[in-house]
This record gives sequence, structure tokens and C-alpha cells, in this order.
Amino acid sequence: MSPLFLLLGLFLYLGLLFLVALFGEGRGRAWAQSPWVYALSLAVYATAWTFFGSVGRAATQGATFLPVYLGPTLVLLLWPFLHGKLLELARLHRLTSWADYLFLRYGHAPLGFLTALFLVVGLLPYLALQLKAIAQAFLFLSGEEAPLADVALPTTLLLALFAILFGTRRLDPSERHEGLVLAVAFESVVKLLALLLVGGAALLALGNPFPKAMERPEFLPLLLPPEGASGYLAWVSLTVLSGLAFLFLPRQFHVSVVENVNPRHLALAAWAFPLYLLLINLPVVPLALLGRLHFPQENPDLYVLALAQEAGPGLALLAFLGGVSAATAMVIVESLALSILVSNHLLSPLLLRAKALGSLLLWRRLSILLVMLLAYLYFRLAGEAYALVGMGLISFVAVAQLAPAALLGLYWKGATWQGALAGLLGGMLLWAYTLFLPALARSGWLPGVFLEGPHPWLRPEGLLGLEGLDPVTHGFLASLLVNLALTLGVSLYTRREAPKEGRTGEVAALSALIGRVLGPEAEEGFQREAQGLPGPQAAARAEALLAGSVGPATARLLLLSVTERAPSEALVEEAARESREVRAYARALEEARRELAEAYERLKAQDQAKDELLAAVSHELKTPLTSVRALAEILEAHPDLPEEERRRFTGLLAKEAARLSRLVEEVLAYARLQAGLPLRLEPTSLKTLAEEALALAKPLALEKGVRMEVHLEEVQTLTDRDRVLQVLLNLLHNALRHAQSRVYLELGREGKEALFRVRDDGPGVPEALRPLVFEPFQSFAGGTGLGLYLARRLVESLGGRIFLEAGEGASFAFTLPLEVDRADPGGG
Amino acid sequence: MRILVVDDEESILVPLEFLLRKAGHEVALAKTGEEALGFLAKSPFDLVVLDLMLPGMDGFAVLERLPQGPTKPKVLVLTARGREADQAKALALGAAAFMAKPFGIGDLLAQVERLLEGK
Repeated sequence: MSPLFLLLGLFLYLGLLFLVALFGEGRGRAWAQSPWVYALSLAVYATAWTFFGSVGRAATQGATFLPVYLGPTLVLLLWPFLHGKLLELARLHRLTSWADYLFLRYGHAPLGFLTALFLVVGLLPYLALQLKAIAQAFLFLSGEEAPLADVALPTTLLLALFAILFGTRRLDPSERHEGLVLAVAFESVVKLLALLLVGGAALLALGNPFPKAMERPEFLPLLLPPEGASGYLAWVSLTVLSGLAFLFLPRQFHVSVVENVNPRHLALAAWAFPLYLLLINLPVVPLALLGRLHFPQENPDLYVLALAQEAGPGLALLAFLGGVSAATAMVIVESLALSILVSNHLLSPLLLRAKALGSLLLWRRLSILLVMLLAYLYFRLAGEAYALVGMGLISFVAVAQLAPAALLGLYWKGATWQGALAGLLGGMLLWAYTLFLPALARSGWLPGVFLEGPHPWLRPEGLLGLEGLDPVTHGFLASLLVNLALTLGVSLYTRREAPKEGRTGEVAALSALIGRVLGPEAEEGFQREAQGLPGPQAAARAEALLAGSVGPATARLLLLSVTERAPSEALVEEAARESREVRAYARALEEARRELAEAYERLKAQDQAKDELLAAVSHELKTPLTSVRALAEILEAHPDLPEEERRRFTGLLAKEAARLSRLVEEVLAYARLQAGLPLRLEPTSLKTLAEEALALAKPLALEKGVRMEVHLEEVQTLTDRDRVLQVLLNLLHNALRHAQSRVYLELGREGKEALFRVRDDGPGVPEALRPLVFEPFQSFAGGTGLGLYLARRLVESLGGRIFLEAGEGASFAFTLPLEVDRADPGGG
Repeated sequence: MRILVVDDEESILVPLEFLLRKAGHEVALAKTGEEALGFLAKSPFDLVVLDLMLPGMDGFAVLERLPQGPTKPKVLVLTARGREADQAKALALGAAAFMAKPFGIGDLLAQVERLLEGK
């Protein structure tokens, strides 16, 4: 095929790409923001290495090309747990890369610096591989031998121009680049269609390869998964490796997180992207078999082109453009992502020191060019060497080193910056030792000792004397295990640092800073956004805004000048605690005031009750005193009274005197109980108490010839035993005085109360007096009039009730709470 | 002279009955307000010695229900409650005199004689 024709096709295609991107920035903006475009842009994952290399790998190693696509599929299944969280963080802090995240999470500037540097080193060969794919395809189809680089250099420069035009329009890389995204999605469609068409056409032209393959026993292993433990291990580790690469490749972070318009687009991408991978892999095995059958001498990586050429020149051009589309999409996005890494983590701290931050955008554009040229240079230098060809998966392993620090940082609070740094360093060193340096040595650039190792146990591709693992699986497992172990181990043995110190600042000063660094437009935007925000929040917003554009470390340094230390969270917490305490204190004061008021009311009531009691006592004293005095005076004035009358008077006199003394005793007992003694609540057996009262009342019962009947249950409660005893005695004496022959005492439970009942078979209480029996002054039939009243007050002080029951005779009952919630400590 | 003594306490009624009889009066005894009103409805009395604290209908209620007109007896109120308010109320309801318990028999007899003099 004419090289001129091919060149024309290549440049026309690139021109079309520019048009698509322009369309995306203009009228096609809505297209660019659709979930389908988002899903297609994720397919930047499939590079020229997929387009040409999968068939090559399938042709030589069989099904081992599949895990490279299984990994991303599995990772996307986890998107609700992983990407959702990531997108939220990215939106909040304007993250542009995993390096930004690591800095944000661990607050340690060297971590971002190291990550950026390592990714550039690790990914340069991968970029070079893409350039080589374009150049190689061009050479193969044009049939020319040299110069190899002719077509690669202008392509490189054009791609750099594209990335600069559509990726660095603004300083803030966390803004969306619709043109770029649409172009990438367009390229994803082109490479898929190209590979499917080439596969279909080759099948039509050359026939079904499977029956023939079955006849060739050496082909069979290609159709089966690898065997043996090492085969399975390789398969699994490759799946994990490519899953991690899908997550941590800078270009993947860029399209899936930075360019995400709406987090809900993930729901579609979660099935559409795996479907894309499935489709693009459909032609791989047939093409590999056809290549093996028809071009046994050809480089397997060129089977796609060779087979397409067999099917016709048009198809050959399509295959070429498919490969170009796969390569260019990757190169554009990866170089942009790497340039952001470089400018935000490597350059901007230097520029800040040189007071030349204003030129950051220029530097970012230059770094795109630099990355591209470095990749081109690498490709020119490495050429056919293993250091280039074997580099795809080695780059994957490099990228996977971010996984422990990033994933543990997301899900484990205990991860520390020391752990992350140790893990990353350890992983990088092991990656270099087991994969990168041996690759260079294999190309003859380094002495053989880098392949052999200083000691059999330190052989780079078989540490500890391990045999039988392919270098990539071995290097991946070794570096990631060391990385993980160091991240975990060091984190466990280092203390988590206090959360980063917050800053606070005036919105005016902050927006002036933003104006200086990001321009007047950003300044206005920030002013609108931050209006009325409190200082710490405004400062955080400004920091996020700056971090997106100049990198997080630089943003923090910039912010130092216009902010001051916000009260640390500990202080804020302290203040909150103090205000809580003040509030609690105020509540306690209010409570105390209320209690005082209640106590005052209670005292007043008690005072009134005392007056009432005094009146009652004096009244009760006066009646018998009147009678005693009158009788005594009569007896004195009439010494000649008839014997019968005299005896009647002295009898009455004795009775009233006894009544007086009983009254005095009752009052004294009551006074003793009430004499400022607080209620003394203690666990009391009411049954024992009742038996005690019965023993005390026994003499009176014997004297009166009254039989006492008892029915007592065992009841325990918290109460003041002296007061209960006094109540029982009052009721028993009252009953004994009125009983004819029997007094009945009963104790039981009723609901949540203990119930005492004292019943006698006397005349009972006249109907008219029933409501009054517990009032003072209501003596009848020779009672003191005070006993029941005092009993009532004692029972009420214990939280119980006393009442007169209906029925024959007199039946007095009183209750006591079984659970005393809040007893009136002052009594009645 | 006919005197009605109203008190719920036997130990008051007994000495009063003895003393008033000794002084030459005809004495009736009532233990409740209702009983007292029953006596008063049947025949006229010259003097009622009335305790204010009675079970059921109390002394004040009895005062309010005393027969009016020429047969209206004089009333000597006895009470253990020495409160001014009680005294004022009793006098307002038509009691002629007021004695606080405990009292001496000399004072009581003198008071009774003074009240009956007017008759």
C-alpha cells in the first residue's frame, strides 16, 4: 500500500479527531455529557496493545489475554462502593489524580511528589509502546523498512497539540473537557468497529479457522486456560493486576472521575463498558488462529494488519486507523493526565518558590510536549528491545503500587502517611528490581547481574529461589505483597496524626488570592460561592479550588499567606463541651430553682399542717380536760355525794385521764416520727413488722378479751418501718377499742402496692361519719380523734393511701407502694 | 328553768347535768344536733348549752335552726376551738354567750345564771 495514501489517511483521521473535539466543545456539548459517551470514554483502557497485542498474545500464549479485561469488569461491579465514594471526594476537593488523593488523605507532600514521579517513569514506556504501534503498523502496511520514526514524530507532535488544545484550555484541570471526552469516545467506537469488521472480513475471506485448528495439536493449548498452580496463579494475579490498573491508571482516573459529569452515569457504564470489552475481544481468538494458520512466520502482533491486508486494501486502512485510534486516544489522555501530575506535584512547588506560578498553564502545556517527546525518545532508543515490547504489563504493575495506600486510605482510618510512604517506596523498589531493571538488562542496556541477581535467593525474576512463575506475575505478587505488608505494618506501628490543622480566612483576602492565581473569572465565581460562608469553610473551598489548579501542596502553601490557623478541632470540641456544660449548668440551676420553689410550697403546706395539727391536739386535749376539771371540782365541792354517783364520777375521771395520757402518747409518738427526721427508707419485711405490731397490741387485746386473727403474706418493700409500725398500732388500738370479740389483720399484695387491712366486729362507723374519720377533731365513741388522722398523715408520707372499707364492722385498709419512686421526704 | 345540754361527749354531759340539776334546773341531754332540734321542737327551753363540734350537724347548724319567736331559747356556746372567727360567727347566729373549754364550773354556773336572769 502506498505510504502516501496511508499518511493521508492518518492525517485525515487526526483532522477528523480535531473536528469531533471542536464539535464536543461547541454544539455537541450535550452529547459529550451523555452517559453513553462516558461509558465509551472509559474504553480508553483498550489501547493499541489491545488492538494488536491481544491477538499477538492469544496467538502465542492462548487465553491469557482475557484476564486483562476480566479485571476491569470485576472492578466495575464494585462501583457503588468504590467509585461513588471517590466521585464525591473528587467533587468536594477537586481531585485530579490519585496523587492528589494521597496528599489529601495523608497530608504529606513527598507522597504526592513521589507518586507523580514514579507514574511518569512507569508509564513512559507504555506511551512509547503506543507510538511504536503506530509506526510499526505504518511500516508494515507501506512495506518500507526505514526510517521508522518518520511517521511517529509528526503524529506525536499532532497528538501533543491535540492534548494541549483540548486539555489545557483552562488552568483548572478539574473542569470538564467535553471536546476531549467526545473525541476519546469517538475513537473507542472507531477501534471497536475496526476490529469487528477486520475479524468478520478475515473470517469471510479465509474461512472458519476452528476446524483446522482442531487438527493441529500444537494449537490446543491456545484454546484452554493455562494449567497447573502457576497457570492459575498467573491467571488470577493478572485479573487482579488489570483490575487495579483500570482503577489506578492516570488516564482512567481522568476519564472516570475527573471527566465524570454525573455520578449516576456509572450505573450505565457498569454494564456497558464490560459489554464493550466483550465485543472487542470477540474477534481475538479467530484472528489469532487465522494468523497462526496463514502467517506462521509473521510477528503475531501484526496478525491483525496482515489479515486485514489479505481481505483488501480498504480493510487494511481500516485496521491501521483502528490501531491509530486505540493508540492516540490513550496517548492523548495519558499524556494530559501525566502532565497534570507533573505540573501539580513536581512543577508548581518549584514555580511557587521561583514566584512564577502565573506561568503554570504554560508549563503544563510544555510538560505535555515534554512527556510526548520523552515517550518518542524512549521508543526511538528502545526500538525492538524487550524494554519496550514487554512494557505494557510492567507499567500496569507500576501503577498497581498505588493500590495499598489509596484503598487502605479510603477504607481504613488507621492508615498513616508513614505506612503509605513505606509501602509505596518498598513497592517501587521491588517493582524496579524484579521488573524494570531486568527488562532494561534484557535489552542489553544494563549488565547481566540485573537479570541474575547477586545471589540465587535474590534473583530478580525468582526471589527466594522461586521457579516457574512468569516474570510479571512474580514481580506483581512480590512488589504488591511487600507494599501491602509495609503499608499495613508501618501504619500499625505509627500513630495516626491529628487531623490536619484547619485554616480560616476572610472571603475578601481569599478571593483576592484566587484572583491572583486563577484569574478574575475564578475570583468572581469564588466570591459568589463563598459569600456568607464562615471563615473555615471559605478557606476550605478556596483550598479545593486552588488545589485543582496548582496541586494540593502548592494550594496549601498559598493559603498560608491569607489565612490563619483555625481553632483546632480539639479546641472547637472543647468549646462545644464547655457550652454543653454551661447549658447543663443552667438546666441544673433551673432544676434547683424549681426544687426550691417546690420545697417552699411543701414547707408552707407543712406549716399549715402543723397549725392544723396544733389545733387538733389542743382541741382534743380541751374536751377531756374540761371534763376532768369539772368532775374534780364537783367531787371537791360535794364531799357528801352518794357512793354510787361518786363512783360514776371517779370512773369517768379515770377514763378521761387515761384518754388524756393516750392522747399525749400518740402526739409524742407522732412528734418523734416527724421531728425533722427524714424518711428512713430501708428494705423491710412488712410481715415481720406486722408481727411486731401484733405483739405490741397483745396486752390490750388480752385486757379487752378480743381474739386476734391474722393472715399475713411475705411482702418486702422499701419503707420507713417506724412509721408503718405506728400506723399499724394506731389502727389496731382503734380496732381493739371498738371490737366486740374479734380483730382481723391481713397483709397482701395488690398490684404494685402492699395492702394492710384491719377489721373489727364492732358497731362500725356511722354512715354520716364515714367521710370524716380521717379528719382531725372527729373522735367518737371515746377515741382520741387523733389516731386515724395521724395514721393518715403517716401513710401519706410513705406514698400510700388509707381508707375505710364498706362492710360490717369497721374495716380500715392502707397501702404502701412496693417501689418507691420519689417519697415525700418531709412526711405530712 | 328548762335547760338543754348538747354535747357528743358523755364526760361533758354527766358533770353538766349534775351541776345544773344541783342548781335547781330541769335538764335535758342531747348527743347530736338532730336530737337537740327534736327536743326543741317538742317543748320550749329557756337555755341551750351547745357544743359547736358535733358529729354530723354541727353547732352552727343547730343555731340556724333554733325555733324563733317567743319560745326562742338563749344559747350558751361551748367550744374547744377558741378561735375568734368561731366566736363571732356563733354570736352573729344568735348565741347569747360563748365559753371556751376548758372552763371552771363556777364560771359556767355564773354564766348560766346571768343568762337566765333576763328570763
